[in-house]
Amino acid sequence: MRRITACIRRHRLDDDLRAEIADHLARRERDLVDQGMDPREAASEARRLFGNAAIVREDARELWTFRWLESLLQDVRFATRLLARTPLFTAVAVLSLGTGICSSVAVFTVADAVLFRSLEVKAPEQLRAFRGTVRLGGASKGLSGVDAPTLASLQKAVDFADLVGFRTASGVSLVSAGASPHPVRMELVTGNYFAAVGPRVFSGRAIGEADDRGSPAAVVISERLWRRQFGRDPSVLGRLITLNGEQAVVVGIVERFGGLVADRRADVFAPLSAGARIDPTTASNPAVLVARLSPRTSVGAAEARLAALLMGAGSSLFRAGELQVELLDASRGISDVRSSAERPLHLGLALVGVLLLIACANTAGLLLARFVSRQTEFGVRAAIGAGRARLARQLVIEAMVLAVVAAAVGLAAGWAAAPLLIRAMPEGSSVSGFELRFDWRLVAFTATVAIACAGGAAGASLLRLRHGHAVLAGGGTRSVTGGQQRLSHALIAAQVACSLLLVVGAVAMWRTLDNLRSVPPGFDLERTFVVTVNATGLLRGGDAAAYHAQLRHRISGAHGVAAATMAQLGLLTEAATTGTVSVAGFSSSSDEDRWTRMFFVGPDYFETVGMPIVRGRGITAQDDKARVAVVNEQFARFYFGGTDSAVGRIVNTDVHIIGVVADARYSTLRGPAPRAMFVPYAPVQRSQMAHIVRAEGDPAAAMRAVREAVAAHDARLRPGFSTARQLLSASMARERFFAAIAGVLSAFALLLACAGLYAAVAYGVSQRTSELAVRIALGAAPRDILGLMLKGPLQTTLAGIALGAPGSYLMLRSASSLLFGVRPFEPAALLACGGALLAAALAAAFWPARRATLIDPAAAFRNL
Amino acid sequence: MAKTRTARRDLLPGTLDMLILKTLSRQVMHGYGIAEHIRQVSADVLKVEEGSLYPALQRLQLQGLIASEWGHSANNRRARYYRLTAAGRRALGESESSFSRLMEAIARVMTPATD
Repeated sequence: MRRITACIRRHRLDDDLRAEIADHLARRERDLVDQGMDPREAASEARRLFGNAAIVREDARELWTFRWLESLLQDVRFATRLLARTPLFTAVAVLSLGTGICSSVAVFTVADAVLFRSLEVKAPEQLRAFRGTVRLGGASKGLSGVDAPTLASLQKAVDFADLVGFRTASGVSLVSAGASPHPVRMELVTGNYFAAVGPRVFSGRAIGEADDRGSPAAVVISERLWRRQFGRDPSVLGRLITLNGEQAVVVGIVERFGGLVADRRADVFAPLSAGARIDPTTASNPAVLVARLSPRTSVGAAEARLAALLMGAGSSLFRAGELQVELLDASRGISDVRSSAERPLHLGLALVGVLLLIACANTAGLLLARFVSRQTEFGVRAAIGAGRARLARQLVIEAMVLAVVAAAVGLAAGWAAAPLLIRAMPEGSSVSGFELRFDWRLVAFTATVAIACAGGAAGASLLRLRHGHAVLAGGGTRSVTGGQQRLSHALIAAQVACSLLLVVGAVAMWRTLDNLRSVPPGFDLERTFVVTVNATGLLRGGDAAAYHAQLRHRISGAHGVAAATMAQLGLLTEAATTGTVSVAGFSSSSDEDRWTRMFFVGPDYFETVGMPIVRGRGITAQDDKARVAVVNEQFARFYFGGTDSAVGRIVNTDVHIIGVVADARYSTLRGPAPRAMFVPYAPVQRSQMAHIVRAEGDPAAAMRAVREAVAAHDARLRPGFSTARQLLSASMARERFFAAIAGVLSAFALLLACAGLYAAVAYGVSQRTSELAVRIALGAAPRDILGLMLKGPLQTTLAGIALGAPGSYLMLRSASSLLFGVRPFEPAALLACGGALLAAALAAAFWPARRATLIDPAAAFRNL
Repeated sequence: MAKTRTARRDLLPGTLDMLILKTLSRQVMHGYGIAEHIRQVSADVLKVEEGSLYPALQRLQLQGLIASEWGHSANNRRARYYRLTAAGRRALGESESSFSRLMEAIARVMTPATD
């Protein structure tokens, strides 16, 4: 312990000792003079009697410090100085490693937020979310929650003491003490929610069973809301706020918890009973069920018990067919978008892993090249007594210093890039709801990556150290040994292989995009736009069909509108309505053959949207109440053998087919058009409809007029606007994302590989200067020198391409679901990519090789 | 770097520490004083290289056997004074007894057995 204190204070101790020794010498000198010695002689006699002051101080010093610590610090200082002296090398090395780390950090942050992070509650692995399916005949209906009476009876059942239900309401306007309204997202929860789920309430209290019937409603707010809206004001507890005009009182603040829906954070938690008052539009939505299972209960047993309870006490919905209950893992929160983001993120992690490998190999190559040029220095150090371990430690520390700097740069850049990445992701807006958090796992991850890179980079140099010890004996080597060459070339080949993977991937994605863009969607792209109108909860039992008919009328009268129609779904939607159809005279054993897409459309749908009618006629206003339908070509071909005989046929007992429309793409551009049937919308009474408008000229002007028309019809509506072009782009969002990512990463990879190659050739030239000088003196032409220097890089690049080709085939095979019109093995494409890589590599190697041809033999020999 | 410097001392290793402790058991002294005292009392026989005193003093300090503080000497010069601690006193006692046992043993070997 005293030793540690001494270590910290060692400079002070050193000064003290120096003063003490000086004092001692002075006293001795004085005594000698008193005894009669000559003052000058006394001084040297005093020092002679004392002994070697420097060694005395060294001996004392050794007692104070841990020698290994001192020499370690010395190494670090030396490494830093060395790196500072070669700024270009340092910059390239830091940038290459930093790029790899930055990409990994960005993707890992996003992946952590979306895929990996658990909820911050007690024992999150015990939470499970309910999902039910009711099967009847060939159809199945998915149930995401239960209605209020069922929830009440479930809560009374003793089996599930820890069953909670909640609903979400978004866009609720929160007003507090004179501040302007602020939209928040709410979770309306049952009384046992906080007790069962267990988030940390760090101020005030949580909502309990007793608050179920309170007025004003007791609410809990999130720490994030408290920070942003209330400025961490401690007096917020007990304060009255209004939510959508309803009074509520804040009773508690919950920390690091945004509700059970992972991709959309809730900031306010209120009792379920208050939900009906605060947000009537969601009052009739089913409540999501989440249960906390005790460790002893198996999931299967719980599912069976819940199914039995639902069948017995639940609403008739659960008895309509065969009920299957699933209790899915909810430890990371519930998310519908997570599954669609899984594939892109896993692929992203794999890609940045590849880039990181390239960055490591690059850094290793750079360090190796520099080590080769420092052979003399290491030889001298070995000669004056540095052990092999000492030299090895020096190399490792140099690599570590580099890695630490690169890691710091990469961490900062990656953390900044993560939000950009999440915005660019295909399901961009919904994935952005996941909260990115900077936590220790990120730092640990970066540290591990950096250390691994440093270790790998140093390892390469260490291998050379073992063999390069007799360096000085060789008169300061000026020629590069075969072994060193081989390792450096192996590293470059690895980089080229990985770059090939990324380049092939990028090209495949671009071609996919191109192919997708050339698929005709089957409807008008230029002047059409879609307005989604959701009137749920606003109609209060009124006639939805009439409501939307009036809206359509208003819209068609708006300025700049050529035609307006509607359907229950817009264009190129992921959602689809499927129904079963029975055709007289058509029988089949497979259920799938009876399914068809259903569209509930308004008058003049096909003319407005731009789908040409090929037989018969479209649906007009007069067909409102009639049992008629228009089918697409695919439908006609499948059931009737062709479009000619479709018109006039009857399906589903009493529906007359009055026309056949050309095929179009309804959800995705991939694959053939599915069978589709279009029927009038009026009988269906849907409160949410997509109004599709064709503008006379530029859609933008018409959109403004339509927006006003919608507001005039009903000011409470919040319509969504998208042009047909935007929808087309959105349907290719995933492919665009991957093309962009692959493009960026392959550009990085190519840059790194070329930089590595450039450095390797440059060092090779500087090492072989004397040899080249001799060759030139003996009459070698520039062409020969060039060929000599380029032969190595050429072979290495070809080897790398050969190495990477099978890898690229495997990669394309595993990503085949993303590709469109691109096969995993396409010799032409592979050749083109390989050729491009080769050209880039040769270009990178050309410049230093050219310098080799300019060597002046006379000057070179003089410098030997 | 070699740590042993036995060649520089004319004493058995460890004895220097004992001498220092014994010197300090009498009175508080500074480094020069300790060197002078040993030289005088041993009548110049024990040639302690004065410099070797100081690492020994540091070592004893780290072991907690002596303590030091800066003060002013007789003619107002700044000097560092050392004193023995309780632990040091105990260690001195142990060293003294083991040293005398050692001397007795050597004496027995050297002295021929009397008839």
